[in-house]
Amino acid sequence: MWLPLLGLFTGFLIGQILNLSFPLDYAKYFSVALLAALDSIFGGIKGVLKDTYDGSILISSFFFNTLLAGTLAYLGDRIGVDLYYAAIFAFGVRIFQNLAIIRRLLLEKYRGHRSPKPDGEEEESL
Amino acid sequence: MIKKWQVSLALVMIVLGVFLSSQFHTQQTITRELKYQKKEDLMALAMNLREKNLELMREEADLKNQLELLEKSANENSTLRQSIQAEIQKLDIALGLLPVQGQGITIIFPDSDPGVNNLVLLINELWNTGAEAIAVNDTRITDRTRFGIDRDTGLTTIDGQVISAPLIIKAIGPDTMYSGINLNGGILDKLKIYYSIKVEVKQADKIYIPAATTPPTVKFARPVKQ
Repeated sequence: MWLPLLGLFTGFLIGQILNLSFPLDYAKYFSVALLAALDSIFGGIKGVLKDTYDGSILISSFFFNTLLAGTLAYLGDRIGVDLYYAAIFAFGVRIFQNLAIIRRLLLEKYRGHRSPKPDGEEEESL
Repeated sequence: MIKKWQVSLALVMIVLGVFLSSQFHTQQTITRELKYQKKEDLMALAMNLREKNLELMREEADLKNQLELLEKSANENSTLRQSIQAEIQKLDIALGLLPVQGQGITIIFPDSDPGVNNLVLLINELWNTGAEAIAVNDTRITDRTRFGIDRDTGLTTIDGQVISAPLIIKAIGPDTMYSGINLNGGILDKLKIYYSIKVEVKQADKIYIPAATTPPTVKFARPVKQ
């Protein structure tokens, strides 16, 4: 459980030390991409908790969704459709759903028993 | 024991970490750069700055006004001081407190002094005809000068000092002094004719008269409030 957190910390530290930042004109698309990345991560965590985790799925979805989200937002701006907001909405909703499921699963684990699927709040991840 | 899922998740997490910190940096820069701020914020900022600018301009005008006023009053003060100083100098000259020089006449009695009464008459004639400063044998004549007669010799004294021939009277003033004492039947005629005293009178452009040695004292007189 600690290795991923350590990874997150290390990554953050690397970013801070290298003082990385994105070009300002594209910051908007990178923020959508980051949202997609967060979505993938939470999906992955949910998978771990549900024992349906697949590393390759996570990695592929992480990079692919990120790239796609950024590209789509960029494309949307080019063609005059605010796909940016669509991406924010889609990923935002999913992140909240995934977080709710993760919370529930963690709570069940803590209680030490696993009830079979709780009521309809749960949905299929990627 | 490190599980397989942890490794892949950790790898993704590293990428996410870099991504997050970069985004944080970018966002910080955005909040700092005017170009990426909201229009409303920028408008409010501009309004604020304009108001502040106006306020400062008003303050500047006020301060300029104040400066002008102060300069004006300073000028008035300095002209006042100058006129007061000129007044003081005039009074000092009149009181004989300053050595002075200017155009005037010199009256010389080479052989004998004309006697204290005639001397006082002559000096009064000089005052009457416009003399501004008078000295007898380099003793400045003022309102405090005492004329007298020495008991033993019968010679004239000025401020208690015996004066003896030749007597030199210097007076600074207008040309009327010269014509005044030379009037037909005037004081000089009287001295020449009745007393047959030898007198020479010379006009000069530059006569030096020293200051009086005794300063004026005011012990009892007080100005009357009107």
